[in-house]
Amino acid sequence: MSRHPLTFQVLAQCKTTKAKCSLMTLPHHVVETPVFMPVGTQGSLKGIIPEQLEQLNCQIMLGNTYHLGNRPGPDLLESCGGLHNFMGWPRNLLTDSGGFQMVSLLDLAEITEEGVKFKSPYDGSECLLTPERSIEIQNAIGADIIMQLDDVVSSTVSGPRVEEAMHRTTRWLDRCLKAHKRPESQNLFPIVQGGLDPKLRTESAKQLMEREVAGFAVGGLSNLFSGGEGKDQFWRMVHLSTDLLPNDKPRYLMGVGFATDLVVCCALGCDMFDCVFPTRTARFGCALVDSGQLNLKLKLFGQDFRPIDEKCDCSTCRRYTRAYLHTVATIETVACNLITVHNVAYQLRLMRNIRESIMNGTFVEFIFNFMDTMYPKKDFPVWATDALRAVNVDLIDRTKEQNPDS
Amino acid sequence: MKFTVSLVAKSSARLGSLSEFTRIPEAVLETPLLLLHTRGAAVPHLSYDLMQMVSTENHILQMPLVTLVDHTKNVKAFGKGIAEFAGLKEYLNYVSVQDSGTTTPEGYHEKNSISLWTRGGRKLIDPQTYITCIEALKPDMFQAIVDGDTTSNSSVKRVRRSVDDTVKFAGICADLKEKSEVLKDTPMLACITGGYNIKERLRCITELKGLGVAGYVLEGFHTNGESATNLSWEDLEPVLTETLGSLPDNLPRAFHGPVTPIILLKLVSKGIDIFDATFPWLVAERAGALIFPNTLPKGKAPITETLPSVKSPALIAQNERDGSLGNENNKDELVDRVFEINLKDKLYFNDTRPLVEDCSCYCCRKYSRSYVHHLSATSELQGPILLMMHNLHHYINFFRSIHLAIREDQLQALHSTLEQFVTSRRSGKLDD
Repeated sequence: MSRHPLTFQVLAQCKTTKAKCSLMTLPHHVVETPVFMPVGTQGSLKGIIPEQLEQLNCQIMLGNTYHLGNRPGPDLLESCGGLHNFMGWPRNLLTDSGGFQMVSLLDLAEITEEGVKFKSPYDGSECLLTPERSIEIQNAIGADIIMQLDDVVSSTVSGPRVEEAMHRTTRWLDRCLKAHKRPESQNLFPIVQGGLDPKLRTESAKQLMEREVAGFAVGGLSNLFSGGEGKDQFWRMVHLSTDLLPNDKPRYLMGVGFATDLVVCCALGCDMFDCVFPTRTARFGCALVDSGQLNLKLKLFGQDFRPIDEKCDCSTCRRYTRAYLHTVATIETVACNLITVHNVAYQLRLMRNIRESIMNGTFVEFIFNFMDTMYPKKDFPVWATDALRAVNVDLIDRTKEQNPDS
Repeated sequence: MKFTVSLVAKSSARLGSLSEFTRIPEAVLETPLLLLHTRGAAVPHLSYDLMQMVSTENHILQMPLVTLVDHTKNVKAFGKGIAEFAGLKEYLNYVSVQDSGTTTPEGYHEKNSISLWTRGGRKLIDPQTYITCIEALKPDMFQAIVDGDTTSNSSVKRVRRSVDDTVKFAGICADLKEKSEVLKDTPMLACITGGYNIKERLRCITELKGLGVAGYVLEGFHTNGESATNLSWEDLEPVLTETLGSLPDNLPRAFHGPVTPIILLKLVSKGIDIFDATFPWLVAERAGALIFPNTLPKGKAPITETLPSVKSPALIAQNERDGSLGNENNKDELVDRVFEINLKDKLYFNDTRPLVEDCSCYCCRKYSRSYVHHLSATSELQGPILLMMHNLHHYINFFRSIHLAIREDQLQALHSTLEQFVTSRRSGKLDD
């Protein structure tokens, strides 16, 4: 019997990789994992209404505590029964702690043992976000999963600061747990830190696992994500973290990502993901397809009368052509609605296909097909090849015994 | 297309219908008719699915060529017309010349052509090019190309020139239409221009006689956008009376532009049959929600809230009482906001009521003013979406009330209700 308002049942485990397909129950709705959570920063998914998200069978989405804590603020949200009511979203919500946004959005954010000190962007006054305050705001917002305030350190930083942040994150977790006023309806997840140091990561996971929590997040890696050398270190830390964290509790990889990242990180054993990319790129007129992105603003789409994706059954692809979207992309706001719907549909369908293939024991085959479609010239990113090899999938030499799932 | 007048009220208001459109023969649209204004062949902010949540009835979309002309080449290659190109083939569509919701710059006249101000800059269009564009778009109805660039301040010379050009253009359009395989059976509305000069208006009508047209658009009273909202009825009325008196009764008359609901009712009483939904759109663009009474009062007066006053003189600055920080729309445009509430106003920060009590639109059934305020204050795209859904819903219901009022000879009562609302709002006390 779970002490938390969350149950997590593993339905199928891939016999080759660390991927698994599970069913998570949260107060507002079930969630099939692995799951991708679209980001609705300020209490709405930009340009689409909740009913459209429900139609796409989105089961959980994100809200940002930093933004919501400012506008409309926790008092208002509390008075109207929480963000679910306020924005008319009947399914699950997850909120982050607000810490990451602060450090990345604000100048002069200073981190002390007390909390994150910063200057208010509205009136320049000095503010302090403590673990207690973050939880207080998240309690008012009322999300089904809330995140601890962690001491986030850029992964480009090395040295004693990383170790300091790792230990402080544990201390802040304890403060968050103590301050949490609604443990019967909101699940508080800790965040594994430790930068790129395997020893520190291991220590972080060990410490966090000593606390009684419903799930774990892996943090401090999402800024490594935009390619290059960073990606190699990124996957190694993910792989290490999932080896440490228990299999019977959800593992949330924060801030990830693009389609390839999702496929690989599912293979590495992650269950939950979030990223602004699909919704943000939609606003710039870019539609997601299996081979990457279509920049619909390009003239070459002017007389392309096919839908974005002939195989896609979203409401946009059933009715609108690339040619029409070309005329309105970034010009009329309706384009934002149409392309966002498609991009969210794309991400959710990708996850559904991943889940189905895990259930059917064909996840490895799925990985091959996916990678071949995304990289038709077989120029697979090195990091992805390495990461998959670490979980017994060899993209290059497919004749090798892959130990296909039976 | 067929236009039938079924009833004429004691004023000159008419109840009628447009029907027998070739492409959708079963569609019957009651007049006075509300065209759904579009830009880029989309109702602003609303995809097809969202439009269906506002209304599942038949509508005619108004598609200003100015928002489509950059893409007519692609629509032509598509070959099946703009409605299907834009994923909206279930709706009838009417291609007009200018975007009546956006102010058209005055001047810039050249021989034999008009200026269309597109995103890419100014495009000169002559009647031949215009008809070529219309052929590519294959609409169910279209407006003849027109020089409607006159206001109450225009010189006689300008007014005269606008009539000369409009008549000449109409002739060329009619001629080319006759010869066009694509357009020969497509109804065309001719334009009556002449500014506020009765003599010129009558001259325009005389010189257009004999042209096979399906109806008339009364242009030249404003240059679109806010200039339509700021029309003076005093100036307009006598010209309108004379003009309409000289037009045949059996053809529909259209008046484009975001006129206020009160002017709209006055225009209905004069015998105008077709309007567009630019006013609800402009209100949504400035984070406004329409709240004016859009139905006939039934029995005892309903309890209404005390709305924040919108004082006389009739115009207040756009950013007065604006709860937002930095507003991108920095022009100090004076707009009359007496028919709406401004959701950017901090007043609505924790107002848990819907935009309009008892409104059955999607937004009012589901969300609070507080939420819409939050969306407006944070410039979230969902804000204009919800406001547009509400405002269109409100306006569609307004038109239903107009039909009922004409049928039951209650148009004057509807008008009085609106006048009383405006008066009380101008002098009203501030909300608590």
